[in-house]
Amino acid sequence: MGVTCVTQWPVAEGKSMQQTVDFLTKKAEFMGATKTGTFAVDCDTFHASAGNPKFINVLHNSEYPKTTFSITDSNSTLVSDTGFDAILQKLKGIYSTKMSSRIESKGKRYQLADFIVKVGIVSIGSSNRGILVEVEYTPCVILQDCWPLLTEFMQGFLGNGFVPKPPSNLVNKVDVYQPLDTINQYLEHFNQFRKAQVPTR
Amino acid sequence: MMQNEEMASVTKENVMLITSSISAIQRLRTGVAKTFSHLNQGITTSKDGEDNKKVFLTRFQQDLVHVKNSFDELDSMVGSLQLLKDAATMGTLGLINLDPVLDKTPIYPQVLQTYKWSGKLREHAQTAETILNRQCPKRVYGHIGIFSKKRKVQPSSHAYNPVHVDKFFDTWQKSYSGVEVKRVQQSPNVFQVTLGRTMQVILVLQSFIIERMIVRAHHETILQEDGSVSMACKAVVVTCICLSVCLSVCLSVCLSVCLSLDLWTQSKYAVFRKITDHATSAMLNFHFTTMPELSVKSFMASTMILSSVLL
Repeated sequence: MGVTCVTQWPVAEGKSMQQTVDFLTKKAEFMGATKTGTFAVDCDTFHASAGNPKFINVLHNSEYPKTTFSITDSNSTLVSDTGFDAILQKLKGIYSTKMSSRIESKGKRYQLADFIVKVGIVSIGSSNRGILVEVEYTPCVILQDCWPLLTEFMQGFLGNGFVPKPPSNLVNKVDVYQPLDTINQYLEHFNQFRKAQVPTR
Repeated sequence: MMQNEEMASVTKENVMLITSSISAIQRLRTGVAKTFSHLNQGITTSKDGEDNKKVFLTRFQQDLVHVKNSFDELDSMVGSLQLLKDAATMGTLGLINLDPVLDKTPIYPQVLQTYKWSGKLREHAQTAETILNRQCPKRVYGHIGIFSKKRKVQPSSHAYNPVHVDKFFDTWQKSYSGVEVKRVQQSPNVFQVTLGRTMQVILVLQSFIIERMIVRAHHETILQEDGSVSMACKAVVVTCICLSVCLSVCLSVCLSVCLSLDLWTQSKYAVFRKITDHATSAMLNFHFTTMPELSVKSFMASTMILSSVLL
């Protein structure tokens, strides 16, 4: 586990989403990265019934297959065993979800020395919404210590014009970076994709 | 053996023949000198006229026969000289003195050149030995005065008190912020040096001698994760059993260390494996036999530079 940066990547002009993803993965391979499997990050939103505006976002990350991350509307967090999903199913009367609202990012996982690169297509149901690129620098757990290095790597991978900004909630973080911080970044992007209009292509 | 005896007998025979030949040559020379003297000075006889001539001719004939006999004797002796078989054992090199085209054959100058180079090589080896003895890579001093009767008690790197080592690291911590040094509970000889929140250096010290060093990430553990004994530790234990030296003490120490501490597994991150390599080079580079404290100090300074590069 190291410091991770998750960023959206625009679909190239005149190209499909899959073609853009293929371009990025080929670029990673050209840099010397090796494919180490696939990955998936998904998010289900459980709404409280009877006109209550409260909700819980339940996320899973294939890097931590036995863990469920839950984040409420008031930003309270819970990191639990996957058994928590079964508990939520029992609370159908209080919190319910729609399968159509499930959003997930799926794609290939690459490794280049101590860097892990994941390029995924974000989809809600059967509709593709965008591309998310995740880059993780595994040896370091302090964001301030390795952010310049991470930026340099991402500029080498995505182009010099790209300047990643540290996530707003992590800018002043002095503690050790946690897997939950990565999940927070994903949730932030998932919310943006949900609010955005459906792309034509 | 047989060959040597044969060669000795041949040499003996040859020596006898040569001695006889020298005597024969002397006889020949005497005969020839006598003949010329008779020719030059003539032969004095009491008889007159024609008798004188006859006597002279007879005497001259006798002289010539004597010379001829001496020459034949010498010739037969030279003919019966046997060739030494050294040439056969030396191969073609033994026949080098018989080489009729000496200047055209490259073997002779080559042999000379080889001899020169072997001489040079011996000289260089002697010089290297002197230098190596002066800057011995051994970490103990015992070898210096082994053969002298009065052995001076040399200061040893092992002789430092553990309190002195602790004091050294305390001073170091106070001098530099972001460095934390502590003894690992499981083994008093193992120090965990944490540099900032980036990396940790695990040092196995024998007094002030660095026995082993490994760099790992800040969040990597120094203990066996599953409590299992690693292969390297098993090997150490097996070696202890095989040697059966101080068995009880050795085994108890080894097992207590092996079961808990993980001093062998490299970091799972490439960057720290690389830093371990560089730090190991620095450790060897900064090793001073006479000033072990300075070695550790220099090593620590170099490690801090390495960690600052990462930030």
